[in-house]
Amino acid sequence: MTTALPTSIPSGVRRRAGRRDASLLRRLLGQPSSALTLAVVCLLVVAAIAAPLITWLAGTSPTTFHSDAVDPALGGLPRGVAGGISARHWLGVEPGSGRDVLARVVYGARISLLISVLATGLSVVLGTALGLAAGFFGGWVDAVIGRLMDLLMSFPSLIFMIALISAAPGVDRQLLLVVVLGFFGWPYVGRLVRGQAMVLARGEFVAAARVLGASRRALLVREVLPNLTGPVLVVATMSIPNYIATEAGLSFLGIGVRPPTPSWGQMIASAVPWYAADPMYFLIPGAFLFVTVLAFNVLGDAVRDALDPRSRR
Amino acid sequence: MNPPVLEASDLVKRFPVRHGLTRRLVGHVTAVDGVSLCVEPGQTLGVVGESGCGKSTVARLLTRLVEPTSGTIRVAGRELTALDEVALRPVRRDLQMVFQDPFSSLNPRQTVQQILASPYLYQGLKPKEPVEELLERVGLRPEHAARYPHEFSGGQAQRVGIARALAPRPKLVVCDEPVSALDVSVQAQILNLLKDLQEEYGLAYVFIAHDLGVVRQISARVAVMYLGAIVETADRDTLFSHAAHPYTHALLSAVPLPDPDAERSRERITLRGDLPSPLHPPSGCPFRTRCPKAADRCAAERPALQAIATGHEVACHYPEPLSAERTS
Repeated sequence: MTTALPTSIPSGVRRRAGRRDASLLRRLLGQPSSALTLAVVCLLVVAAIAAPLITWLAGTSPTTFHSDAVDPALGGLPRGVAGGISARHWLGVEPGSGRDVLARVVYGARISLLISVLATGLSVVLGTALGLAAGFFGGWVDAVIGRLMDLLMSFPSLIFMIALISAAPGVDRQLLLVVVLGFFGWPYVGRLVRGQAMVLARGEFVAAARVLGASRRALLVREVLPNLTGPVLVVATMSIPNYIATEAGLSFLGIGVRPPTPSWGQMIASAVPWYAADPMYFLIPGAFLFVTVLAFNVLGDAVRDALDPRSRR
Repeated sequence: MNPPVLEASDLVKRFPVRHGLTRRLVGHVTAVDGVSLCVEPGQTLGVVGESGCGKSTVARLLTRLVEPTSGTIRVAGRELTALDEVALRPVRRDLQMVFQDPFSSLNPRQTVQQILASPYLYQGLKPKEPVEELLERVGLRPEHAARYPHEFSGGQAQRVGIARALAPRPKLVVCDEPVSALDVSVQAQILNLLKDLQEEYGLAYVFIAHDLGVVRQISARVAVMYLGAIVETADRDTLFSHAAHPYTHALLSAVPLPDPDAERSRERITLRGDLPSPLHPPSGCPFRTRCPKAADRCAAERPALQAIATGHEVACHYPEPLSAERTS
């Protein structure tokens, strides 16, 4: 948020404004565990963004069939050791079709991260706006938004998602996933923001701004909202792994991303019949999913600890 | 005599008390029960009373942070109880507030620069003076503008709060226990600062405190509150030497004297019991349950605030005779 100040800002002030974020990063890097998870998360994001570059370097693509890499006499089992790991296929090939696993994993990372980040963005925007309104205004606004949050949180959302996604065949699956995940996810952000906003709205600095003649908008945007960035950042970081896992789960159930677009959940689902003959095909996407979810969760904890004033040294 | 900068008459604030699942209305707490105040330009009115007597609610009523149940408030001749938030905005330039807790009254995510720009931003005004000058006026250094509130001591943070209240050039500042959260040595500095600013800008203060020593130092007039109502109001010197209400006497006798001999030999009035619940106030005089002089009439009839001398009003059926000298 930028705020127009009526006076010119001395350079020292501008330097200080960025200080808090810089110190958050410094705090994260100061702890070996959080530095490691931050590195893992960065590596994944880079791999996802650079997926076309990686496949170009490896000379593969996620959709090309390599019939020479599988053995039709063994029902399509990859030739060679450990699921067909070779100089051409660094993480082996898919049984049956012979598609390159590395290419499918990095393209799958794109889908996982894109959907989870967009769903997080949607739930954070909805949750912050509605939670702020509920906590700040109270009364009937709070009653309506509060009951809506209770309703959504008590809803069997997974069953609803399955029903909704299978009932909407023509709609873009990825967009639908983002909307559905974001819509069922915002009450968790909203509940937190509501509680914080209630405390802040009663704070004396808000009373001071009212005495100065601040409009409602200014109270919300300039006084209360900046004090919510810490907790919102924490729930956002914590909800990304949740959405990654949910998206993988939905794709595993066959209602996530549509083939041939690769996704980790889909790969794990298709590995189930092969788990005895070709365990590597099951292990690789599973390991990526596990490491990603773990890294984001640990990072979320680290961000929370770094922003908690009580844990400051 | 100048027209008053603040004239509040018969302010009443009742808070509903709700109970149970259905939020059933079970009664009202009368936090402020018919308070009238008048402050002349450049003057300080001290308001004293023990915790829970409604002095902070009075501060919040005067600044319209709390809506009065009934009564009127006139600031610089303008009636403001009828104004909505938008119409009230320009009036707020004349009427500012300093809060008790210097830290919770400053936004922790804003630098002093941003905090001191707020008054102009919210009023849509061009800054009357640079932030650096404003800081110097309250005894801070220009480079403090880049700091966040948590980087200050309590006294410094309160100076920032005072600078913020001063920025729109108000006529009246309501100070709600502005020094209660500070160390005694810092209290004196802040009081001196408030006095200097009063002289420089002709400010009027409504100064709320529970510490009689503090009120005595800064006030021209003093109002004593008990259970939501004013029980005595007089010039500072009159109140401290010729208090007429038994409650004021009890308060004054609780102030320790610096001379140990005088401290040992003087008569001390100790009040028994607690402040009665404002949910079930006593009949008649609200002070009768703890008053050493209470008589039958006190339970039957509520005493009105009546002048016993020029500028000296008391709400008591049996006020102390004015000849009763009290040395302190």
